[in-house]
Amino acid sequence: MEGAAVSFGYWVRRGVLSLARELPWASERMGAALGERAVHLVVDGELAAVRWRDGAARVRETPELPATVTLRTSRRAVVALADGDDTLLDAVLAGRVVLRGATGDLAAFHAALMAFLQGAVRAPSFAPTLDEFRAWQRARDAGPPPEESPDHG
Amino acid sequence: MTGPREALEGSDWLRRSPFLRGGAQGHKEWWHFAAYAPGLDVLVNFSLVDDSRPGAPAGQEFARVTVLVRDEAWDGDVELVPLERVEAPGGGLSMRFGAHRAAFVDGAYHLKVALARRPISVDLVLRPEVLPSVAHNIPLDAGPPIHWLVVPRCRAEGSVTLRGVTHALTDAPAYHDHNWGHFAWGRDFAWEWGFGLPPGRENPWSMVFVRLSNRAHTLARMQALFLWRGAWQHRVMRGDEVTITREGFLRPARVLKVPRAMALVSPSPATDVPARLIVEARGGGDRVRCVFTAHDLAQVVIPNDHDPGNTLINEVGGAVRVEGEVRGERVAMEGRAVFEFLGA
Repeated sequence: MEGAAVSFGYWVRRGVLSLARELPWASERMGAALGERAVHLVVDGELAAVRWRDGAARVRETPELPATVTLRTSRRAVVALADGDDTLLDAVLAGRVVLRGATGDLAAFHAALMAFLQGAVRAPSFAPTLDEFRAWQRARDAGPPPEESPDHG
Repeated sequence: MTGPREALEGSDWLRRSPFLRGGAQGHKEWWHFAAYAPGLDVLVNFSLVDDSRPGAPAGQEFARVTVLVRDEAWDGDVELVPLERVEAPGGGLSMRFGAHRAAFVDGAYHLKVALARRPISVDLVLRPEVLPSVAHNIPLDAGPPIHWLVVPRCRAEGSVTLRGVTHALTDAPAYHDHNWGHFAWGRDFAWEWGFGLPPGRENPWSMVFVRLSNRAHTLARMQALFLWRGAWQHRVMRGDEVTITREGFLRPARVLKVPRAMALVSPSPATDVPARLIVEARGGGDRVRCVFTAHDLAQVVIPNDHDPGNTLINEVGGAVRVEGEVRGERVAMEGRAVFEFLGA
């Protein structure tokens, strides 16, 4: 199990690297959908900035570029989505997931997200990774409250 | 005379993938169980599936336990068990997936499952009351054929615990099938499969329906209605003897999808499951009419093997009514049923 000290960016980086290794076609589809866009994932205030460059996803915890698309949510909401206790549509409509970007960029981000998820549900390493993420989320919940979310959007 | 125990000991053994021994990759095999009691449906499935990703090492398989339970609503999940915790010897009649067990011992199937992430446990003994029907070399698509064994009528004893409430099953109707073969999810095939059982022992009739078709449901490759009377398969009507009519659509507001993460890639509750399925069979002076009325469903969502899409297995709970005349004898049976509709 990863300790609570690791960041949300660690999980995003681990996910995209696993995907590239285990399901290259899904990783390539994700990259094709993202194009040059910079995506900022902000989860309980922690930033994971994702870009597709030189045929691979790059994940940073400080932004290289202003965001084309920003997704802001919480660890708890991520787990609820992965466990089927919430749907992406309901989460967006209720504000548990907030998306910001131009319509075409949001559509491209959705296509990239679906490519990532279609790979994730096929990749052998993702089920244990999700178990570890749940444990990490519980450990974070048990710790001190997160700092106020900075706005990277 | 051979009874269900001897017949199953000689036929329901695990085939297992030949891939590790130099055979073809893409083998799939599962033991499937269903039981129902007043206010409760339960489905349990133990499956072993070759890892068919390009370059997957020989012997790499996925061992999964699927459990779906319905009281007022469906609940359940799919658990993937690491191979080092799996014992399922070919030729044997038992599977041990971590703490989960399924075994045919002393003439009965013993199931013990406790899901790690959902408050569900199943502890059941299913005792077959009929002789199995075994079908080999059934073409599913242009690829290799599949094979199945079906035992439509068992009696279940034990308990199912769901969200802290334990339901006792006593002399409850139950069902088992076993499927194996080489095929790929997402190919040009679909199936409609269902069984119907009366609630009590006094009614001797048990029913299984199957239709295999192309994915668009426009070309039937095989269809049949099987009737058991008591322990024996009594009548099979197939092909042109069978007419199938779909009426309406089941329109649930929400659908439980398992594995639960698959709801992210298949979020829609829309289905092509009919509200009613009518199977009429006539031949040789016999006639049987079977009406399945769908009540609700849960979906097993399976990633296609060779494209980014998904295959949906709709597990549909409902009521079945069978009536007709076979060999001069009236056929009449009403009961609960689970029908399975494969969709895209």
